[in-house]
Amino acid sequence: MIEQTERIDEFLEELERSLPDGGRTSNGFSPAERQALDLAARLALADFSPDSQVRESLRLRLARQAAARLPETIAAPFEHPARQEPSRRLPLLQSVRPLGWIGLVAVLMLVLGLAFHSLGPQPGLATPALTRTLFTPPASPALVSTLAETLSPARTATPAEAATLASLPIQIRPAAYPVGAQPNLPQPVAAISLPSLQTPSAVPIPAAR
Amino acid sequence: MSNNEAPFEAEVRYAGRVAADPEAFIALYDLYFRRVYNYVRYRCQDPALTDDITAQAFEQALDHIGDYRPERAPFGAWLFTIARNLVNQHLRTSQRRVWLPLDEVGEYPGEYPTPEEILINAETQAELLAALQQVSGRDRDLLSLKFAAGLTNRRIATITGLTESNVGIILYRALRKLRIALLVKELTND
Repeated sequence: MIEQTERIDEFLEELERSLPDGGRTSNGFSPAERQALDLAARLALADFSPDSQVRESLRLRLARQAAARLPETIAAPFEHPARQEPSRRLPLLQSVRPLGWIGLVAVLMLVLGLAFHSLGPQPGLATPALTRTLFTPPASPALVSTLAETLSPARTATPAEAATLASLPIQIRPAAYPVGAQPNLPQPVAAISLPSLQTPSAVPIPAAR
Repeated sequence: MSNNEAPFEAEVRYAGRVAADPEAFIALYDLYFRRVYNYVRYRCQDPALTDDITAQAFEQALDHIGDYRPERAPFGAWLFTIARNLVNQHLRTSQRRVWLPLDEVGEYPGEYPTPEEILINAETQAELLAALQQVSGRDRDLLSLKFAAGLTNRRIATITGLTESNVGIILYRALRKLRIALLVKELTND
């Protein structure tokens, strides 16, 4: 066969030598070109695909594989209804499926929340003394009203309190100002003395009237 | 649709969403099966082998559909690159060419004859397949890409690595060789 191919090549070269100008005709094609065009048409029109034994089976197989690989879309038009998943055959199931997912997620979140709640840190038991402190009402209603008045932001200091405050070092002098407003300090607070805060005598507690 | 008709509009319509839509992939399968099959058949001759390689080509295309970028190449060029690689791989591994005697050509009639099949002369097809064996592998590859796959010279040049003008020259000479092979066969038969 290779020898035959070589003979064809030799013949082709001889043909080209014998027709140097191509012998072009009035329509612009030489006889050799015309033959080539005719042959090209035969090649282009020839169809062997009816010989295929796998065309339809391959199509079905590819449709199934494509649907499996790309589950977000529906391959229903390419498969027989009997081979489709139930949710693809029944629109009701198809519409219920998203609700099922939502319900599943909600149940999962509920279970996880309960689990965290049960496994999380438990509140410690109060000691009897603390319980008494928390739930014992004040002994004197007058003391309650005095405390409320003392802690009120609208209250002005008594002369005694003002004198006490003036004697305090500037580092621990308390400043009262409304929430959101800038503190009206005489000078910026550079530091707070921790020992003075820890010393009970440094910050006198206003006496009840 | 003729064999050489390039379904550009349909291809563009489906190729843009083929990576996410099995419907688009199957539509492209319908568009390209005939051309892929004929391309492989021109190069391999054997119908059973052609079925195998054609199936592999489409299955590989589906496996790697995520790699396909419509903006880089038409789907057909991408698909025929896969088919061509499979054919080349087969020819390399088999280390031989399948020379099919003329007597055996045409013994694989289609299960469902189409009107086209009735119209086209089976003898002509058999002669074409036999004559294609008389040209070199490269010529047969280019002839198949041009006339079975229906690709443009530019696209063939991209796939094969040749220049576009070189593809045209090789194709023209291959056609003349093929024509001579057919003439020789006719003279031999006479």
